[in-house]
Amino acid sequence: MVREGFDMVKEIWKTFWILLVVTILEIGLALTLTGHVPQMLLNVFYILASLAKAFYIVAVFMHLKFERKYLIITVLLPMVFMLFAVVVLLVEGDWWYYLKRY
Amino acid sequence: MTESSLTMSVKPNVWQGGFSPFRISWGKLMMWYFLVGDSFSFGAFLITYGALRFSYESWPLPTEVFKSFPFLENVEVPLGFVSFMTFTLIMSSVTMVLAVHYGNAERNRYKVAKWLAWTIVGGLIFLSSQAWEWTHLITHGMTMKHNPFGAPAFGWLFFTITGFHGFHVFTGVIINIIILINVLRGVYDRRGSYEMVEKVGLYWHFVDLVWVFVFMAFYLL
Amino acid sequence: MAHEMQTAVSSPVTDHVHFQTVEGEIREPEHIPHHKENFVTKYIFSQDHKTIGKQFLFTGMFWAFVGGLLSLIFRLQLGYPGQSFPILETLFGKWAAGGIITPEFYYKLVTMHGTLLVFFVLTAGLSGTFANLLIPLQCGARDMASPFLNMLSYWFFFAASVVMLISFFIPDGAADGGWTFYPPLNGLREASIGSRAGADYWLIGMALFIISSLLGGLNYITTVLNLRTKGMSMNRLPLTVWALLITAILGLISFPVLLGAAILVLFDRNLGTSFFLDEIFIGGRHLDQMGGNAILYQHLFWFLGHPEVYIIILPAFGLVSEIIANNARKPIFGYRAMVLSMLAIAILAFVVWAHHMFVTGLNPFVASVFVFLTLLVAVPSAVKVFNWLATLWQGNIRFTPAMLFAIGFVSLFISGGLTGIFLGNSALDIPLHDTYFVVAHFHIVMGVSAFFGMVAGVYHWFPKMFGRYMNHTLGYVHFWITLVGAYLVFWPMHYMGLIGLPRRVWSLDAYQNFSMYGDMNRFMTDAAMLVFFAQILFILNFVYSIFWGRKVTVKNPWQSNSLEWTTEIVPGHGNWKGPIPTVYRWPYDYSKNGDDFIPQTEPYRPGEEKLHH
Repeated sequence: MVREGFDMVKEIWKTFWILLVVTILEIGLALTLTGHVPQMLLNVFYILASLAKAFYIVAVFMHLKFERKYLIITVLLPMVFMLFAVVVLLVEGDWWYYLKRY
Repeated sequence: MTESSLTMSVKPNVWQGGFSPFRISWGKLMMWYFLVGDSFSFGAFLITYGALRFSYESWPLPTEVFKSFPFLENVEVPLGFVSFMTFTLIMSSVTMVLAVHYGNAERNRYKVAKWLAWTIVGGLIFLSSQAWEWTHLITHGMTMKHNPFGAPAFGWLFFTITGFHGFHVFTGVIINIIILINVLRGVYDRRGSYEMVEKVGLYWHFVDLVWVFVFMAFYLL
Repeated sequence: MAHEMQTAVSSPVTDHVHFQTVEGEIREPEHIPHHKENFVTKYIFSQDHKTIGKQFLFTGMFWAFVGGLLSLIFRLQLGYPGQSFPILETLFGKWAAGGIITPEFYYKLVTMHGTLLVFFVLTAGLSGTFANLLIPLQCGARDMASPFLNMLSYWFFFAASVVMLISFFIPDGAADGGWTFYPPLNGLREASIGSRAGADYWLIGMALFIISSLLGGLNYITTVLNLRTKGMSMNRLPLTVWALLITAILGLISFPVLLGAAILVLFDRNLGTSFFLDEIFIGGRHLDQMGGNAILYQHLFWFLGHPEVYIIILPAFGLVSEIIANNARKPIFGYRAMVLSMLAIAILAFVVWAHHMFVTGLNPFVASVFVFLTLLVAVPSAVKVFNWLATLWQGNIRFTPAMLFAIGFVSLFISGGLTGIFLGNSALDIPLHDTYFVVAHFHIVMGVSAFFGMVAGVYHWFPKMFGRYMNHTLGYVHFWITLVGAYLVFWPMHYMGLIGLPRRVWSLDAYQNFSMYGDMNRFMTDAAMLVFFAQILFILNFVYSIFWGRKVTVKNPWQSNSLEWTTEIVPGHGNWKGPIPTVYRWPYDYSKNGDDFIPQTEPYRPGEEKLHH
């Protein structure tokens, strides 16, 4: 539950501006820097920026940061398994590329 | 709680029973866990995308594929239209959360209806934009089988994943319309709680959340 | 706990089924509203969790019968190769021309046997039945969180069943590409007869099934977390509820991935994409669809598929724990260890899936990680086994049919679990994969033992479901034939597998050196028939007892502690006539201080020692 005297509307618009600026930054970098800096650097930035956006959407728009601790834990914990699957499948994808070449 | 005095030595905690340990109704809890499950169906698709992409030598450049804008025939606007779509979706998330807020905090039927209606408009703009983008790409030869911009896998992954996301937006719009009608009919005033708007709001934000990653996968990486 | 309650007092009641406030407090109404019920709302589109549980049980038993029958038909071919059974031609026509089943039909039988038993019997029939029946009763809730979604869950399962049943009767017959549904065999219409229309039916049936189990699972989770009665803290939950809760969590996270994979296969088959197709030649012609990867499907499938086997076995864990403690008249040994080991199994379930794929050309490094994680599963499994044995130790055991099946479960789980350690090692898995050793392993550890758990549950909770007892003598006959028969069928498969006898082969005639197993195969087929007829005995006992069984005259026929036995003998909608009882202790206070049992609703007496919270 939200604390007394907490201006939710202000928080919402603040979050909106954060999301907008991060998105503009992403697109701006994609348009200006692609081909000039190592792609890996850009990709790391894109992933971090997306995770940041996801954090703000879930925390503020979906109110998760105002919920009870255990709800937050039960919702976030399963994502560990997704992360594990992403890592395994990316290693596998790389391995398929290797198999294709030889 | 009227527990026997003999059991009072047990430290009271939120898991004790008789109420929700999270202090939320079962409906909202069920929506949260549905979204956890649904994130795994999107996860499956995006993981498919990642694994296949890693197995490819080359991949089409997003700035090459997505550079058209409606009504601007001969101008190249790389990532222009998708920026507009992303903005629409973020905006509709903001209007949705405002509707939720005015429902929960003020039980203000007029304000909830207003912001919910804007959310629906945002959803419809997003869907029509996606329809235009799909049509444009298909007329330029990118289909479920072919892709003139490079690896065909890009084509079928793009249509499948954005299609699945668009399907979620579509169902979200339908549900929002139903809820809007209920709001206007005063159903939630009689019930004394606008929690239903909040539950739909969770779903809508989830759709926005997924778009963050779909956008990253197809338009940035 | 005033700080917890303050917000709830002023808040309105939002939900009229459960009287739960927005803040999650359960409110009991002054009067429980009684809706007038007619035949359709009471027995068909029922929203009462107990009726829905029975619907799941009946449908599950129907599929168990069909699935078992399918296995008998293909066992005939394996046990009596080349021998003609004219009845088969009468029944199946072109699929068994000359009384010998064709290879195509053999594969259909094997595929559908696996699909039906794994998903329709041991998932829906097992956790569908007992989660519905027991979660509200043992948590102390009037019904599931959403009775309406619960009803939909059953009817989606019913729709899935209808689609699967229809697929048997279409011209090309049911799917034949294995219950795992690997592409390209199933990803291409040209691959085999069964991968034409039959495979589409399979995919659509499975999609409906997944929706059903998601609707059910969401309900189970929210009910356990949100609607427990006063005093029913998580560590006072019966182990059945814990097991069913964890099962539902596994399903919620893993089934969407299968849904995704099924959609992609459907696209490959019908829209010309090639998610799982690459470099395929048909009749010398190079297929246009390329650029995907068949191994990718296996990853997606087994990301579901491995949690799925725990979805099957965990409810059996829970049922067996409850039955063993009740009938040994002893507190369950290591309650907390039981819960923690189930949680550990659930977590490991999501990080071991690639052990099904050691010989697919998996990255060797990834394989080694999965070997390590897989072998970890042995630890919590062993904890559970030792706890069951310790519960039995020096117990005052009542050998009811339910108890016998529960003990049989422990025996089978040990036998099958040990061979899992062999198969979890990638080095050992290379010679053993795709042999009868694997068939023996998963049938004993997951198929038969989960079936034992389910049957034990039916015997134990039959009085709650129908207000009558099942016939115990028939129960004993059923148990001994099934236990001995199941070992006779599956034990020899280990030896066959060790020398390399491949599974999924219609006839072993092509392999001269396996002809030595002809007699053994015939023996196993005969044993399988015996086991199957024992199950018919069970069905007869079941149906007979519903109508004419000995009537239950006391509320608590098994002298059990848990809440379901505090209701009327056959509870109506809403479960308790008066207010929901409050819980003061854990459900395993058996043989304490000279009392045979102390129900959960009984407050602690002055000076009584607490064995557990």
